[in-house]
Amino acid sequence: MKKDFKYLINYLLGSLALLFIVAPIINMYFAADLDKIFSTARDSEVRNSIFFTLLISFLSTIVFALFSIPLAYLISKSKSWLKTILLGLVNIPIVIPHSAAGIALLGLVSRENPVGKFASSIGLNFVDSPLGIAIAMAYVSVPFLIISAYTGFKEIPEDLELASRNLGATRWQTFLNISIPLSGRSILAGIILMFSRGISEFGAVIMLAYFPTVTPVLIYKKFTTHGLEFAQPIALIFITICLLIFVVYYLFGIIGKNKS
Amino acid sequence: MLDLNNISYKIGNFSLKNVNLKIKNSEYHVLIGPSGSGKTLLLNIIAGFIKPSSGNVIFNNIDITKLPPEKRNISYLLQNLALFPHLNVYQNVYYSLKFIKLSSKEKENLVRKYMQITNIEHLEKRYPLNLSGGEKQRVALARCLAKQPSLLLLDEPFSAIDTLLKTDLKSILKKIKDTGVGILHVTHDPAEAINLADKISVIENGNIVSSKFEEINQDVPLSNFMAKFFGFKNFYQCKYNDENTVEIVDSENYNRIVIEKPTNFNHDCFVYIPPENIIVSETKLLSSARYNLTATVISVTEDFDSVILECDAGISISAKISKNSYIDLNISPGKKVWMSFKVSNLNFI
Repeated sequence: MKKDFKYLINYLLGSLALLFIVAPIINMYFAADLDKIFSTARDSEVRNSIFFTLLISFLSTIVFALFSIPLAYLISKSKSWLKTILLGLVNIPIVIPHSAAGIALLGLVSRENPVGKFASSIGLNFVDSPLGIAIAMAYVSVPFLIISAYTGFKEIPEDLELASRNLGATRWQTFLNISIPLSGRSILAGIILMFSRGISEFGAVIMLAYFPTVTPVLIYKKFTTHGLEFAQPIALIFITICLLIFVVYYLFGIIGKNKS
Repeated sequence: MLDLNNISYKIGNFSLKNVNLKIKNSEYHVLIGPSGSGKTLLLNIIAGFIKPSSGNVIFNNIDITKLPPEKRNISYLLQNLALFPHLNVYQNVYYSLKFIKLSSKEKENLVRKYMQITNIEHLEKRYPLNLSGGEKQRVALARCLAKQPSLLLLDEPFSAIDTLLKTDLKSILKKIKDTGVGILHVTHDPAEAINLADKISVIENGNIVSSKFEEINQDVPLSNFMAKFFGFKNFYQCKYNDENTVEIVDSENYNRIVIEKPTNFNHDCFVYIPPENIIVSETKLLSSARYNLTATVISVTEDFDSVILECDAGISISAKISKNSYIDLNISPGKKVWMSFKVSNLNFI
């Protein structure tokens, strides 16, 4: 009996942890004023900001996926001691404060820096531009895609790739015809994670671009200028969108597991 | 066709040491050796997955040692078959033609041809997940063949299938051999080797220790290893004596007997006489068995449903008889018996 009682402590502590996670969200939905929600949803500033945030995050995810998927593949195939270091490097954006990451990015792309100077000379401006928002979003969210794709590539039995080579495919053809389709689920999951992490980014984005206003910045702006009452409806709409993306990701994982 | 010259490779504590192996056109060559002897490693080197640290792989008179796997006209049936799970049977077989310049009609015809040879036409739309072990084996084989290789490498192809399917696969492999494809088949199973091979090589600890047609050096107890490895009783060196006789040498003690030369014997080699093919009798049999030896029973070992007799007939020879025969013949150690076997019971290796 004593043992069972101790086990109940797990339930109690676990429930508190779960409550801590969901309570603010549930409270927000219960406290919501529907009229305000609908009027906020009709506000063109809010709608434009949400649409812009989704679009920029989507584009930045697609563009950076083209670079990060090959990187994930190369790391997964590496047998060198450098592999651990490379895996550590790609995780850096996760472990540093995002506002600090934004400052670091700003330092790199500002016109005082050779990189920024060169970008400017070919007409690319990162400060207060969609381009700056895109790289800020990508910088903090790309590790999620790389790690997810890396895990997918790692799970492919080496024999399948060897068989492909033996059947006449070059390394590139094997990558396209075997490795990518077989790790497709992990790559797509990584893309969804990167995209959803990108749309919710605030710290890094605000350092590079206050305008055009992405939704997390808009929520902050409304809160500092009009107070909680005006920030809450936008936050609720945005949370709902994020939750929908999360549900898609979650269902995707469940379907994937069942299929395999 | 394939000529391995002094291939060496070291991995951890294991190394292949100066391996030499020749495979002729359309030859079914079995490389037999225990687990960890370097069989798969050697196949990986031939397929180009691993570069040897020294030595050359010559294929159709061209040095292919540094050629990538996709440029070698060699198909490799990996032990775990490696069927692509996201492609159905047709697509798996088609994959080997995907990167070849042929019209789509020609490619389709080739896929159909090899699906027919391996009896998998009815599985066309199925995915590997929904195939049985034997079906997967045939799909992997068809995929290897569609590429129309000159040489087919088989890594323990019978390891994952049951006895009934083994017979099926054996007949398919014989069919393939008849089409002129050279085959290098690695296994640890001597029965496979004897059943299928034109030529057998034995590998132990990264060394090829014996090849059929090689000179047998009596100072090197190769046959001891082979007999021990095969787990065979009645495994002897067989030496050309003169025009009419051959010498059967017991590798344990170098005792020998001379028997009449069988018509199919033309070189020094090893011979294996399955114990279950030896007929034991009290008197000399009047039968079609060409070889009749007198022997003394040395020991008797009872098995579940049979009895193994260890006898001395000049050489140590074993016979496996039924329990009923054992009782009827009233056999005990020291008894004199006749042991008879046919020419067809001599398996030359």
